[in-house]
Amino acid sequence: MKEGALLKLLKNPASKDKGFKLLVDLYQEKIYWMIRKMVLSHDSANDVLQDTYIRVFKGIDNFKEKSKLSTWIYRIAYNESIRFLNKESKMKKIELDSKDGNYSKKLFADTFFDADNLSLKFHQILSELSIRQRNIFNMKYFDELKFEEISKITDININTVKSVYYSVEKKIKKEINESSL
Amino acid sequence: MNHHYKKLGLRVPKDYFKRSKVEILGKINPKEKQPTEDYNYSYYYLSIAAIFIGTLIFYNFPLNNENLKEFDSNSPIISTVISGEEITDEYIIEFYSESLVLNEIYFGN
Repeated sequence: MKEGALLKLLKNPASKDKGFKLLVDLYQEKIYWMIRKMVLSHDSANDVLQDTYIRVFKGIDNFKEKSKLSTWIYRIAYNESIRFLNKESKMKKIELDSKDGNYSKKLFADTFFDADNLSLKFHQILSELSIRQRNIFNMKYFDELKFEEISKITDININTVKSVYYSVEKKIKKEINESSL
Repeated sequence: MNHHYKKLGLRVPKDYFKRSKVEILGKINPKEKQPTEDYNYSYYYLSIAAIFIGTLIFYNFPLNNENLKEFDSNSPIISTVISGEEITDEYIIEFYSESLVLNEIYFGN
C-alpha cells in the first residue's frame, strides 16, 4: 500500500483503526530493530516500541506531511529512544558525543543476546564509538536508511551524517580485517 | 562486511512481533484488549495488600471511643486530669497498687 493511501485511512476517523493496524504491520519490525540497537535490551526496546506507536496514534492528525510518513515514525522512535536513555541514566542527560559506558553491561545482561565471534567483534567496535556515531552507522548499515532520512531523523546535517558514516565504516573494516588475519 | 550479521546476536522471544502487535493495538484501543492472566494476578495481589493494610490500620490506631477510654483509665496522669486531683507520689503508688490488684483478680489465676 502506498503512503498516501495509508495516510488517508489514518486521517479519517472511520478508518483510523484499520489504517493503524496496517501501519503496525508495515513498520513494527523495522522500528523495533532500530530501537533495539539504541537501547540494547529487548525489554527496553519493547517498551519504547509501544510508546512510539502510542505517540504515532495520538499525533497522526497533526502530521503535516513535510517528510515521508516512515521518516516521521522513525523520528518519533529515535526521540523516544533518546528519552528512554536519558531516563535510564537518571543522574544526567546523556551526551550523544560520548561513549555509552554501560554498553557491554546492558548487552550481556539481556537474556535475548546470543552472539557469535564476528558479532561480538562488531559490538566491541560499536561500544567504542560515541552514541551519535553508533546511531548513524547502525541506521545506514543495518537498517539501510538513506542519508537524507538519517539526517531528518537525527536532525544532523546530511554532510555530517555522510562523513560520520564513512569514517566509522572505514574504522570497522580495518579492525575486522586486522582481527581476521 | 556481511549483512548476514544484521541482527548482531540480538534475538527476540518466539512470536514476539505477533504478540507485540496485539499489545500495541490493545493500548490504543482498549476495546480490543483481552484480559490477561497477569492482570488477574495483579488485581488479586492488590486486593490482598489492601486487606492487609486495612487490618494493620484497624489494630494499630485508637479509632473509636472505647479504645480511648481504655487508654485513659490506665494512665495515672490522665486520670488525675479527668478527676481534677493533684498528682502526688502517694496517688501514683495507690494507682499502680490498684492496677496490680485488679490485674491479679482478672488475669492472675
